[in-house]
Amino acid sequence: MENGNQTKLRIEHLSLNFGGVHALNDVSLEIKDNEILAIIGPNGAGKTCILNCISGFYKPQQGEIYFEGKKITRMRPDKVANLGLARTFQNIELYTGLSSQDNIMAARHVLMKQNFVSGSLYFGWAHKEEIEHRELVEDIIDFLEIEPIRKRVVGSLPYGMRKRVELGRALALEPKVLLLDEPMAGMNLEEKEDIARFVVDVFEGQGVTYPNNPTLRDGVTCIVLVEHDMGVVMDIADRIIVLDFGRKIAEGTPDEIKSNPEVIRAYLGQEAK
Amino acid sequence: MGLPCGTYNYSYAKDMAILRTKTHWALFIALLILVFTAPLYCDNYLLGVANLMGITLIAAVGLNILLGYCGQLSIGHAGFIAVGAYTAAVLTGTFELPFLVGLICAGLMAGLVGLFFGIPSLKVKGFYLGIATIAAQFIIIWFINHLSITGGFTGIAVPYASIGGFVFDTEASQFYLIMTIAVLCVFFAKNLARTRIGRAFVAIRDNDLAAEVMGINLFYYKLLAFFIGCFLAGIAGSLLAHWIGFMNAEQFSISESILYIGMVIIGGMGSALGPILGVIFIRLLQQGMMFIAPMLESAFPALPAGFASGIAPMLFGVVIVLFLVLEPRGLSHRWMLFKASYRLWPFSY
Amino acid sequence: MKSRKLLTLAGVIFLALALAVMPLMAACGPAPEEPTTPTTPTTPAVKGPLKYGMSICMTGVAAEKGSPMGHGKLDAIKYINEELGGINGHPIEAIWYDNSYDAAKAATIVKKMMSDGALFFTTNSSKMMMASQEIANRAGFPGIASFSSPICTNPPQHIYAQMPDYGDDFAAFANYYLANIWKGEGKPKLALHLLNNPTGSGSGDAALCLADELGIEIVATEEHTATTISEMESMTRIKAANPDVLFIGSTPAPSAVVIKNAYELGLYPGVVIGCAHASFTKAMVAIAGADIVEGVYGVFPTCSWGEDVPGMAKMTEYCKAYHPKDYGNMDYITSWAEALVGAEILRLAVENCGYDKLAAGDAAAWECVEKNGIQKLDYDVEGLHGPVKYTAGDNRLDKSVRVFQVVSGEITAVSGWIDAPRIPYENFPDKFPWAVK
Repeated sequence: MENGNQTKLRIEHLSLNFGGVHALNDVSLEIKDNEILAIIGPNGAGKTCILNCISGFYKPQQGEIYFEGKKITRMRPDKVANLGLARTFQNIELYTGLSSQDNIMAARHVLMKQNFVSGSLYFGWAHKEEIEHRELVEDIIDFLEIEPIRKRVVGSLPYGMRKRVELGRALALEPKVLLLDEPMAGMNLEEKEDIARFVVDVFEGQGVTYPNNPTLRDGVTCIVLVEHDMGVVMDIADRIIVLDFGRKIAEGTPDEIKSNPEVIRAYLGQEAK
Repeated sequence: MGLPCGTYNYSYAKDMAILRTKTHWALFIALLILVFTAPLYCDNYLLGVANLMGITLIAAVGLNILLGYCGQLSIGHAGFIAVGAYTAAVLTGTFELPFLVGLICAGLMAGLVGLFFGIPSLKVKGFYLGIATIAAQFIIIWFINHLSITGGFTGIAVPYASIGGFVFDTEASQFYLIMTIAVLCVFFAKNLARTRIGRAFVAIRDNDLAAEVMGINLFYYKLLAFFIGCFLAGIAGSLLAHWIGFMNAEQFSISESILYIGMVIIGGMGSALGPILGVIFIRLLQQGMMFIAPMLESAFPALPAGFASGIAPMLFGVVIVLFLVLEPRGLSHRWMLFKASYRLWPFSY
Repeated sequence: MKSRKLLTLAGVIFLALALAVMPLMAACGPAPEEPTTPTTPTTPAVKGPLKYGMSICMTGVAAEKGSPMGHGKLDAIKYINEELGGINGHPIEAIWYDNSYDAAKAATIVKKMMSDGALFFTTNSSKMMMASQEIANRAGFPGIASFSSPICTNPPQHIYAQMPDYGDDFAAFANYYLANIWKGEGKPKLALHLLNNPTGSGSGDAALCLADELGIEIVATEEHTATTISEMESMTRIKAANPDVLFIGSTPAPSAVVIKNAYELGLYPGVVIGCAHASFTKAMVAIAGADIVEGVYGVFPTCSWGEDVPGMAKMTEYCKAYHPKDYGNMDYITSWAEALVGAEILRLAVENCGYDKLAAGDAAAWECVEKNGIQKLDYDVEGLHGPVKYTAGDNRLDKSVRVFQVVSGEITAVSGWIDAPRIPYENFPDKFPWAVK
């Protein structure tokens, strides 16, 4: 699947203001295929704002976002999702009243073809389609090792499990680009390692282990990871972009970032002297 | 979870089936037989109550889709029922069209009116939407009272339902008609809830931000919920019109709308069983209240004047309040707990 | 935790009891113990009962009217059973249910009464009769509406009206006005101020039907709500139309507002004001102020409390003994009179068909009650309201009202019982399609 490092998402001169607050200030960046890109930065740097602009939640005042060459700035969120962008949220945003399995099934929405007539008749077409999609969802459940909580209502699940279900829901959308907003926030080391492993496994693809599920088989070749924690990011990211106060201050491989004085200053606040 | 001991799923089709075991099937068939042979051993009054319940159930199923699954509060449900009732009344009474045409048109008309009044749901949620839908209630009733085709304040007479020459002119035949449609509506609603559309509705109810990001078109699905919910209200309205035989706008008061919300909440929002239990509970309670004042007055002639008749609505209120305090998640939740404990009995876990 | 469990248990038990006991008590309810205890030893009521169905708005939004009406007829039945020994020795059994002013409930109640073997039924609001009438008409189950709407009796089927309705009020007042008050040339100009419900529209419809026939010109029609606090705007429009007579079809409080505004605008005194019977009560006089409403006309279909009529003494005695709070309430009189009419119907039916036929409580019994009871009525109702008598083609039993006027703050009768002519709604099929079958 070597498609070369073509650009998947291109962000040009993005500016976002809330009243007088500049959340993003002339940010330009490119997200390429075949890489895990990490966006890091201190609190309030504007990391989540970028994801929200991509998803269509925020309407930036200036700048444009292109997905595979198509302009998606200020597009409605559900249309963005239909193009193949899936994401998770910093504060878990699951459908609390549904079971884990149905949460993931709900993400198959864009890929299913039933309408309310065939759905309410059920037997026949809808039944067949439900089973087809259920099989794909079960692959994801198996991959994320959440079989025991398949039928549990997610509102009652522990935090780490809900994070996994949310990842599963994003995978079920069969995304071309996966946007992960702090997938490891609030976790202990063991849980962080689990999630990191899932992210890497998804990126690499599982091949014959899940032959029928295209996402798991081929992997999601473009992952954007917004993280607060430097450690994990350094280990799994191919490239890192650092934001501070809504501005891009550095971009490069993990090694370049580690030694970048701007980054060190932003994180350790040397300028305060 | 949720299955009797020793029952395993060997295929996804089985896992998704509603009726899993032979016992399920046996009970289900027994229940259907019990329901559909009711006219053999019930008098006209009991059948009348059952018919009222069936009609109410159809409307409540609609509200459950709208409120229970999609989370869109509508305090104008009686208004939408009125739209259906009057559409059927005018089409079959004044224009002498067949009952089935009236029935479908009643549903479509109520659905379209529901679409119109559902538009605010795109901007406002919860109680704010509730207030906006109250407007529907008043506007609809105002129109019914001031249009000449609806008979204005006086009302309008409605002929019996009839299909291809067969006239549903007895309580028992009406019972079969109403119950068949009610069973179909419950079946459709249950299927809708467990498939793609239903999951989209619940997604919107539980987290509309995430739903949108996961590709669900809020605009379309909120309006679809309004359409389906009001379509069923219209169907119920049509049946109500043919059953009572006379429509007057005062029959569709705002207290009816609130009562429908009460039924959905008491039964358990967002479950297929909920509206059934809620409707049976509220309608039986109402029928009970009907008897209680005469009984008290004859049993205790010494009671002060007005006491006996005052006790009925108080009791009605007390029962509902007790219910909400003790079982806020509705009768269907209580039923699930009962089933679970019944399966584990006599072991405690 | 434990206390919560106990509470839950208590709640469940309470619920179960409430639910279980109700139908149980109903099943073994009123039949044996209720009316079979007349204290007068002279007429031991050993004969079978005559079942009198009543759908009463004891609770709900219309309880203000429904509850005194319920008391009135139940007290009257008690009087008939205890002092008159029932109907030829047969006690009247009141089969009554509380409809809570809920149409769906009313529909089930009429079915219940048919199942119970009631011989006929009564309602005390037009809405409840409308919800019941189609079911009753289809079954041939006769019904009497104390307060009715023209649609209850047009076209005439098995439903009868005890008293004239709001449309008849207008007809009677218009006749009285033309005969006794109108002195001008040409057509008098009429303005209408109507409540936005059947009470108001009833008068309005009648005016529409009769205007040409009577030679009246309708120059303005305004509508108000039950909770209106000012009608200055609409009254200004009415004033501009320069009417000779203003007819108000409403309830006391809004009528008082309308008359007050007419007074403030200088329209009244000057124009003649007439009120339909739901408006014309002491409450209206009190709300508007006696000096403002001085000289206002109104029509009313029953006698007043304290009037010297044969039935007054017993009614007053029972009302004061059992429901003293209802003393002075006109609805109690209406309802007491309804029970007297009902008893008379049962007497005629028993005498003409025999008890055995009636005891069946089936379609044959209903037909007998209708043909030999209701349609044979010729009874003065002990003066409590106009005489009841059936005439073919007109299902109103009592057709007469009296005209009253506020004189020195008191509502005073200015006429005897005058007939309200039947209004030919069927002549206007475009406006009243229901009147044509």
